[in-house]
Amino acid sequence: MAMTADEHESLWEAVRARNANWRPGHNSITALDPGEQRRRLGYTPGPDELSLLQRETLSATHHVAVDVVAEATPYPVSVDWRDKDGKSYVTNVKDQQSCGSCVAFGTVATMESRARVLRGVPVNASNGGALPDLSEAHLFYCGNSAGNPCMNGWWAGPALDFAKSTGVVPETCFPYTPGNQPCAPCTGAPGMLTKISDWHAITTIAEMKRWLATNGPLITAFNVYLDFYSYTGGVYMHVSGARDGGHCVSCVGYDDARRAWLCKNSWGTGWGEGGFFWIGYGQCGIDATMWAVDDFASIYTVGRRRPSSQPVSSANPIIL
Amino acid sequence: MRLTEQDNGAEITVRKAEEIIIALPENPTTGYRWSVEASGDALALDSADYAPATTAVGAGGKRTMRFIAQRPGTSTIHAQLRRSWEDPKAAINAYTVTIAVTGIDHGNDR
Repeated sequence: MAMTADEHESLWEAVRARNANWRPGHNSITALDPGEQRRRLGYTPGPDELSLLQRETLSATHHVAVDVVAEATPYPVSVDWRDKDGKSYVTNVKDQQSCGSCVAFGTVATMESRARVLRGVPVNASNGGALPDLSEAHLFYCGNSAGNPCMNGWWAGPALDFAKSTGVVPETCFPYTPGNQPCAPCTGAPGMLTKISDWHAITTIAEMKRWLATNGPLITAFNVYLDFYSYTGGVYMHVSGARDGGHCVSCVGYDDARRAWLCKNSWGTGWGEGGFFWIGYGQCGIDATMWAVDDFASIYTVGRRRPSSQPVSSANPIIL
Repeated sequence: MRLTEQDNGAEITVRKAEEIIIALPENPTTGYRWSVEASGDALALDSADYAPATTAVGAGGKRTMRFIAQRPGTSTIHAQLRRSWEDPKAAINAYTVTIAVTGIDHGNDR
C-alpha cells in the first residue's frame, strides 16, 4: 500500500502531462489503493451555498473570463498580504489537527488579517502583539451546534453569523484542541470578544481581486483531491486522484503571472510552502465564491479589559 | 467478514476466497488518512474507498478497505491514521487485525 517509486514517478508524469507547475512530494500514503481511483464522493449544498461540483463548474467559468476581466479592471497584478511593502498582515499558520474544523480556521485567519488591515497593525510591527490570536475553538465548538462537529464539518456563512452575533474570544481564553468538546470559554469571555459587524459573499473574480488588493484576505473553500496531499510547492492544479471532500482556507493573495491564488492552509507549517499553497485560477472550485469580513463592531486588544466601543473601519482606524 | 474499529487487535479465521471488509472512521481533509499494510501474501487488497458521513465542508466519513483471502496462511493488517508528510511516528491512531486463511475455498462451500 505504500507509495512506490513508480507511483511517485506516475504522479510526476501526470503533473507534466497536464503542464501543471507544482511539485509533488514523495510520501507513503498518497496512492492508497486502486479503489481510490474509482471513488466519487457525494456532496449536497449547505444553506445558501453551492455544492462542490457547482463550485468547480463556476470556477472554471470564472477562469475563462479572467483574462478579459484583467484587462478591464485596475487592480494590481499581484497581491501578497504576507508582504505588503515589507509588512505582514497574515498571522501564523495553525494546525487543525484531526478535527474537521477547517471552516473555523479559515474564518478566524481571515478575521485576524482583516482586523490588522483595518487597524494598521502588521504582525511584524512593534505593536504587532496588540491584536490577539483569536480562538478557533470558540468559533467552532460554540458556534457549530451540529452534533459531532469534528466529523460533520461546517459552513462559512453560519461561522460568520456567529462571529457577528456573538464574536470570538482570544485563543488564550479558549485554547484549541482537536476533538468534540463543550463550549467552554474562560470566565472573562464577554469582555474579550472580537465581533464583526457584517460580512458578504463575493462571486466575481474582479471583485475578489479588488477586495484582496484593498481590504485583505478572504475566506474560500475548494475540493481536496488525492494529489493535493503531495503538494510541496509551485502552482497546484488537480492532475490525479478522486475527490476527498470540501476544505476551507483563507485566501491571502493572488498573482496574475502565475495565474494563481495564494492560500493559507491549516495543516501546520510542515505541509506545502510553509503551510501556504498556490492554486491555479479556476481549480477545484477555489474561486466560485469567497467570503469577506466587512468590518468589526469591536476588536479586542491585548491588555484591555473591554473591547473598543468605537466602530472601526478603514476610514476610521484606531491608533493603538 | 465485516470488521470495525471495535475489532482492533482481533485474530480472525477466514476461508480462502472470503472477503474481509474493514470500515474505519476517517476525515481526510484534516490531512489524516489511514495508511494500510498487510504482511505476507495471504491477503490481497482489493479497494479502499472513502465515503463522507455528511456533506458539509470539513466533514469526515468512513474508509472501507476490502481484502480478499487469496491463499492459505496468516497475514496481519496494520493501519495507521496519519499525515503522509509527517513522520509515521506521529500517527494519531493505529489498528491491527490478524487474519488466518484456511485452505478451504469459500467459493466452493456454497
